[in-house]
Amino acid sequence: MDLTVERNLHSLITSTTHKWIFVGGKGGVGKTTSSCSIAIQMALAQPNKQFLLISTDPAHNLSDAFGEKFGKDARKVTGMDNLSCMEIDPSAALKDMNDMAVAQNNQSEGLGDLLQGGALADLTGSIPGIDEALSFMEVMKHIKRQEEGEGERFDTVIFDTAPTGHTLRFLQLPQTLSQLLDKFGEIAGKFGPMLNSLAGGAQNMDIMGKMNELKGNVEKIKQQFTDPDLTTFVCVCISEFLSLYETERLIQELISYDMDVNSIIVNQLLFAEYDNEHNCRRCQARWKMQKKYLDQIDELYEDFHVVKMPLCAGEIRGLKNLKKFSQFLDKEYNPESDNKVIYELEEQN
Amino acid sequence: MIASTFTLSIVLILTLRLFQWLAAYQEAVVDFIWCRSHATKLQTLTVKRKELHREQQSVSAQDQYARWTKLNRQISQLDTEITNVTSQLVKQRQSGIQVLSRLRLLLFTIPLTVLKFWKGKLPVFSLPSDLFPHMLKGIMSQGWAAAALGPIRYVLKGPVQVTEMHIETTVCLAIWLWALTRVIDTTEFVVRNLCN
Repeated sequence: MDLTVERNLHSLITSTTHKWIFVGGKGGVGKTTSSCSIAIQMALAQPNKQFLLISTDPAHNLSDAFGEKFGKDARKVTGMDNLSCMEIDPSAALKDMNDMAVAQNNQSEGLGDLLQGGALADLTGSIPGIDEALSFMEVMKHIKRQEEGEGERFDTVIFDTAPTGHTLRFLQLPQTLSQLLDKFGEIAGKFGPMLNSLAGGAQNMDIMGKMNELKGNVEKIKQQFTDPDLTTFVCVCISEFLSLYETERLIQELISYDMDVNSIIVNQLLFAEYDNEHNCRRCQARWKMQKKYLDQIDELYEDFHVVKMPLCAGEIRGLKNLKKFSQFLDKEYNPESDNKVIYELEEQN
Repeated sequence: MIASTFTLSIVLILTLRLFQWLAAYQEAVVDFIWCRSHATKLQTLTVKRKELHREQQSVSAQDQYARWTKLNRQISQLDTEITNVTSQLVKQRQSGIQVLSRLRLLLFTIPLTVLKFWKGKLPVFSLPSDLFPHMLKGIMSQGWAAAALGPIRYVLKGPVQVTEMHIETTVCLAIWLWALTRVIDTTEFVVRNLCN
């Protein structure tokens, strides 16, 4: 029985169970290209399903990648019937809501209610993960609104995450909040309703209640995100020391959150020894360095799907080029037979 | 009976005082009894971590990235274990200190307090009667309560004509224990100052 793990994402692309796919890594490694490629391949492989590709990076790139404009509202990619894209800045949305809540000091539904006139925002600086939790819940609400608006559910959502910060740090939040709520419970038990009367007014500063609600919401999300059949994280990196070191840290962090991570995309590989068109000394030297780290990756992550993607002659922009490039996620790139594709990728006008 | 009570009270006072002097070594005793297994485990983990760290320092991260990373993973795991064992050790130590305090309370402090109240007026020895003023004689034979109750008795019964019938004044157990404690405190103070 062959126990070698496939060097492609075919099982993920053809998966019928996955609902949430995160694509992450440090800046400049080809995250957006990879997330677009995964989304395209999944949409092509499963034409009866609806897919949503969402960018939570404040420096949005999806519009540049596809060569068409996307916004806060989901819109279908031109040329694809079952793939929509959306660009949302969750921290900006959260800040807007918080400013509104402070200005009006009104209880609005959902997140505004949670923000309690900006009071909870004061806590966000002190409790790790709350910022990310609130941002993420804002994203989830936005997706739900899209589904209600367009009248069709998205079967799978692919997240192109931001290169900075801890997108999924909020998964540790239930534990943190439990400890905090226990402490609050002790204090509230001693002082009772005095705390509420001290806060004053008809709007009770029921911070404990809101934190319980937040904890409950995050636990629901966590249940889904720690189910390996529903959620997975794809790490993107390049074959250089710092990128690999960051990838290792990211993987260990995700494992600590009980999140499934079993795929790594290694981008920008030169495969210089197979390149008949161009084979300079510099490329050879760089390829030698990349191979050294590739061997290390194979040794370190032997039970991962390690997908090796080539460095192409131009930027991979536009649906046509992305389709050509993304095929190597499904069927691994063969530097000898597939070499010509690198030079076929035309620049989009 | 008097002799045994007297002896018991002195033993209790001296033992409590000994515990106080040996408080600095309390943690060592607690560590020895309660924390030995955790301390040994912590030491083993710390030594192992040091060895791994030394090995990692000798490896080039760029040339042997896989080996370096595997060592890094082991070190991270050990760090987590060390943190857990340290917190368990702290809990064990606190638990041990608590047990020792309770034992001290049950075996020495409470019995001594009960003894002071129950047998406080027991006369332990006598002194010539004319050595002390009348008020002090009352305190010495009946304890500090006599000083507190004196004014009340005066109000209720008026000035009492004292007729000296006794040629000796007894010293009760409570006063004797108080005097003993004061002597020990003063001696300790003098010795500490001389040593410093």
